[in-house]
Amino acid sequence: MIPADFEYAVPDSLGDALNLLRGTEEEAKPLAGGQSLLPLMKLRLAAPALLVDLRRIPDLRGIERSNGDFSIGALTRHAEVASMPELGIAARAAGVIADQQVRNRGTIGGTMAHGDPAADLPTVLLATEGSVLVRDRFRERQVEAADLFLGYLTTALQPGQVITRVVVPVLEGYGFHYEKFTRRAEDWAIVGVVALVAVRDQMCEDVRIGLTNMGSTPLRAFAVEEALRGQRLDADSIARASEHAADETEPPEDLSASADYKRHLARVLTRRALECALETAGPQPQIRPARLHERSQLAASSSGAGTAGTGGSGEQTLEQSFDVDAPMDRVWSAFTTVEPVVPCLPGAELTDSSGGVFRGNFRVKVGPASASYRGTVKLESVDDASRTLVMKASGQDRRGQGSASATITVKLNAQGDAKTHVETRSSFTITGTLARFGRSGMIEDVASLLMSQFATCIGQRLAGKEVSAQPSALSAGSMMLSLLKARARRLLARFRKS
Amino acid sequence: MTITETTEARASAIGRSLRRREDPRLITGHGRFVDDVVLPGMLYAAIVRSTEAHARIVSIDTAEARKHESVHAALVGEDLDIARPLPMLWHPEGVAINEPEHWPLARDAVKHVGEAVAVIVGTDRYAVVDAAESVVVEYDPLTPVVDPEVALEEGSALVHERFGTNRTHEWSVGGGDIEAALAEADVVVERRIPNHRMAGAAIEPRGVVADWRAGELTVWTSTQIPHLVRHFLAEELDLPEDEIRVIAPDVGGGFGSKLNHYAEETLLAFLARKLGRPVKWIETRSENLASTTHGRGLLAYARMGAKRDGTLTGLDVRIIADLGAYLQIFTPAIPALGAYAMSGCYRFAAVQVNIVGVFTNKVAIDSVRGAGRPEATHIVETMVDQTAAELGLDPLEVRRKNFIPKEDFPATVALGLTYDSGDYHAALDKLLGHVDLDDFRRQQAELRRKGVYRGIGVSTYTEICGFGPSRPRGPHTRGFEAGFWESAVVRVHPSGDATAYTGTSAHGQGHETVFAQIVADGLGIDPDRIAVRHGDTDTGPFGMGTYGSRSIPVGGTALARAAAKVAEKARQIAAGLLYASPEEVEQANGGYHVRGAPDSHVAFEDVARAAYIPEELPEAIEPGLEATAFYDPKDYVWPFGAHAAVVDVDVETGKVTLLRYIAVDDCGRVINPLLVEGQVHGGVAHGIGQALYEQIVYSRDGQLATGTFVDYRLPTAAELPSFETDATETPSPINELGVKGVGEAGTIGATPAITNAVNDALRPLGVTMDMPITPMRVWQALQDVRL
Repeated sequence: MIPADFEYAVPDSLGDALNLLRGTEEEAKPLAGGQSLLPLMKLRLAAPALLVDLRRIPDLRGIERSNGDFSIGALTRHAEVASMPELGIAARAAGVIADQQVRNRGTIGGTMAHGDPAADLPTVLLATEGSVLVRDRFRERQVEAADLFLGYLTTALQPGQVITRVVVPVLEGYGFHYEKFTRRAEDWAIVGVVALVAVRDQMCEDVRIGLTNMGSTPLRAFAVEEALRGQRLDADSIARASEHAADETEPPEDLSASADYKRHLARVLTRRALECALETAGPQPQIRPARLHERSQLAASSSGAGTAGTGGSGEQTLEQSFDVDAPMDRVWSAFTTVEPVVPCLPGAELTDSSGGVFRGNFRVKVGPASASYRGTVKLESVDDASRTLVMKASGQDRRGQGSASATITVKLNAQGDAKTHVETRSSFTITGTLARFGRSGMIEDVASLLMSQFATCIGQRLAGKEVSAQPSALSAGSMMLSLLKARARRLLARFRKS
Repeated sequence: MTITETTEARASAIGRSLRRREDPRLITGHGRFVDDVVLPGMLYAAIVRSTEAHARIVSIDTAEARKHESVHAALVGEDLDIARPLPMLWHPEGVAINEPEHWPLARDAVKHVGEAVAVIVGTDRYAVVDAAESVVVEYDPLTPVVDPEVALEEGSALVHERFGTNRTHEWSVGGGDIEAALAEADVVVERRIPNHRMAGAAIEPRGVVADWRAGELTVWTSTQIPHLVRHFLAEELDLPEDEIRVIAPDVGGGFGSKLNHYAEETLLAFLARKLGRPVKWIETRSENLASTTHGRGLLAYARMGAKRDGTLTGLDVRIIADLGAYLQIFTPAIPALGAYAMSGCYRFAAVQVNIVGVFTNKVAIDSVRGAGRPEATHIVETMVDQTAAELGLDPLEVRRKNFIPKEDFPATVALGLTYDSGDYHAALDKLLGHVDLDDFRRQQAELRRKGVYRGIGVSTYTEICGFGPSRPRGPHTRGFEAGFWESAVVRVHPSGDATAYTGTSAHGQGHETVFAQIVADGLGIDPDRIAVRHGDTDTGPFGMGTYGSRSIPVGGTALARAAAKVAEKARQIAAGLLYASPEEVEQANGGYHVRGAPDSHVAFEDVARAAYIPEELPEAIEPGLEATAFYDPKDYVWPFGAHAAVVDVDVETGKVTLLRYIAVDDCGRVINPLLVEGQVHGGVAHGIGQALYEQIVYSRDGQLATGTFVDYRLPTAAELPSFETDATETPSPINELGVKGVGEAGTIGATPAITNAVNDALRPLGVTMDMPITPMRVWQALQDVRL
């Protein structure tokens, strides 16, 4: 496993590091423990030109306690965190990360910056309502855990920014437990549950439930918390509340677990985690009431009918429909000429066309991982009578890593004179390294985002609305953010109605 | 135990738990693996592999790759001038096998993900990987064939159009009248038993260095069969066999996955000759999972007949074997090897096995530890448990009732094969000495009341190994285009130290230690004085390699015979030195003396010296002290044992926790108990891996979904309990050492023991699991019965 060519720098100061980290993520990427980034590079899913190793920077080390918080240097290794029982739930969760070798190298700042929803410590940060200190060349800012994790391998960090410290609130007297479910000890969590409870006189004064790998980011199980807060805590109430652990989650599937199985696990593990946490709860907790009670949070938005944990990244099918405020003939003509619709695909550009075959490039990026395809789009069949067309797109990764292909069926239905209902059915296949990257949920999720973005854009464009240019590469992060916003708006609207 | 060396009585080396002498070099980083071979002017090869499961190759554009300044060559399938495709070595008479041409680089079409389509060669190991990435292969995708049952349906897409079918071949073996035997039964239990694909997953991936120098070819390859590889290379490259030297240096595990001749061996040899420079290729782990043969991968429909009292009458098994896209050396033979063991430890009136092989767009199946026999044992042993459950009988009583009794050995079973020796009751009794079954059942009942589902599973196995007699034994062991004898040379040096050469090819077993023990006893000297050499076609005679638990029973016996020849000559030399007749001289105390006169002692080193400076010796004695032996066993050997697993099944999450694993194995006479235990540990871990963790998964469109060790889950120490091992010792009458093999035994015994344990735990819930027993599958099965 040989990564693509890269430069390597080991600055002695944070200032030097930040100077080296100017530029995009492809140009320069900070290296902490390297336990996630280096494997991605070796699989050639990531290829930064420069690695800036942070290990010699003194500001990123040490653990302090002040104002009721632990401030943990970003370069603190998991093994160190695990060895300090006073860190409570953080120590507990750090002790079950992967295996000893990974714990000896992996860092708390690195895992936060990587933003893997299957990682353990991000869930702890979210549940404890901690934060990270982020520096770039110009300023330092504090980012709350709830604002940090945006999607698969995607955080609020911008290129050039480095996490310097991880702030974990001290939750004195809280009972805590991390229930991690894996097939092998060293695996990523299939599902993990952080439980924190503050109990006085058997009453639940505060409770936090964090979920690992139940969405595109770590999640809070707010419904469980709500069901327990202020209630008497016992086996029955815990069991009842835990039934809500998977409410409104769309967990990503992989070879080991279907979404249904993961939801089931979340419920079982939440109950177990709460039972264990209850046992360790102190009599006089110093309550720090949860600030976040309910909040729109981004679960995996996958609506794909992917294979349920059986076949990995087999052919995936997505169905989407939307309405366009335009007469059907106009919409039909846009689809059948192809050019007007391609710019709606984020990361796609047409280079030339001839004889009904359009050539172009398509780039997709998820955190540090990216793939760049070049290929063709052509109309396979056009049926004017039923207003149904079939488009076929196929491309090859520019780095020889595999191919992607999609068959998109579009069917139009007139809704009166000025409105058209568009039904799309897309089946796509990915081959090569990306397909072998077993976290297939990631691919489904990105594909699903891509299609929904595509649909929205087409709807707007054909309705004659001004459409801002699509990003030059599909970035899961920016799309997650926009989806998050959209969902928040919908939620808000719902509240106003009621 | 302390061993005191005295000149009075030399302790036998056989039977001692000597530590592995190869370990100090291997665990301190001083091993010499293929990747340690560095030659002046060496080039590096990177291989472009298919990302498609099934496609026509429209074009391959290597222009960009050639632009890299360090790149010397970029070749595709048509550029290779090779005399014949890669070989397949099993052609039983009367069996028509569809054999696709299999070339080192794909020609026209690719048939599985990971198939080699182009090779880039250059001076910089990293740059060739970059250059390989820039090769653009245009594919025209074809419909992939993934499910072997669907592949057999009328109208299925075809892996190889030219055959008009996805069927590779059909093969059957039977003994007795199966329909009569099943008709006679009170109950016939039917089950569909899948046995999923797994990887060999050797810690060292494959690797090849080829060097063409002064008209001679030297190939270092991480293989289990260097001599066979040399033979194939001679044919493919049209070179005289004597001008090729193949070396298997230290090899970091094989588990059957290196019992093959691979495309890259031919490719690298071709490149070295074409470019006139040495070339190295080292497989990555991802390449290994996608391109090195897999094992298992079959689906069985089994019917077992039994009388109400538990007497087993017959076993009928129909096997659909998912063999992949090409036939490697033994691909179609693997399920047949399993058929040989289908009788298990039992007296069946009739056994019938019908196999149909199927092409799919996957990498080829071939040997993985046990090669067919774990699959067969899994079928027999899980069927016995199911049959017992259906009859309401104790599964151990059913086993006891049907065991071939020890008085019957050698015992010829319904299939026509003859088991050499066995005492199955003794092994099971010994196993039960480690588990108080009555106490366990009481505990189990109590735990169930608390919602804890604990189960115990037993498997009693026997396996055919010690491959093998070169002449067929039994009606259906024909067709292997290889003799399975073994060679040995024992060469005593003038100092009295000796070197033993074996035609077997160790890759982790500890041959350097155990073979020295065998030769030491033959020569009557200390094992420390004997070096063992293997894996180099230029230093020892032709040999068949290491696989099929054959090295001790076949290779060890050959060495014992060579040592005996040397000892006989040494006795004659000693007689010359003692002025006695050879008949009067006997081996004793690290030398020789005249019978009844121990003071007449002549040390072995004096004998050795005299062999090379024979001035005192009678003229009739040739100088030198060495001997060669070729041993062809007269029949197979059949090790056996009884294994038990104790598991807890979390019925909420479906997770299985293995609490205890007890293995009683009988591999005949034991040369080194420590190494036997090591083999059992490794074998059991392998079987547990398959039962609970490891699985090769292809998606429905033929993509390999388990392409790294993140998803191909090998069990680690954290998942395994401390194994409890014990042994019985029933010598084999087949060879003079009384030995059988043990390398595959653990794997063969383990999967049914685990499966039976899980099913014992879940029986009150009405659930019966097949492998792989993953948490989700258990949960799903429980969901299904709760509905």
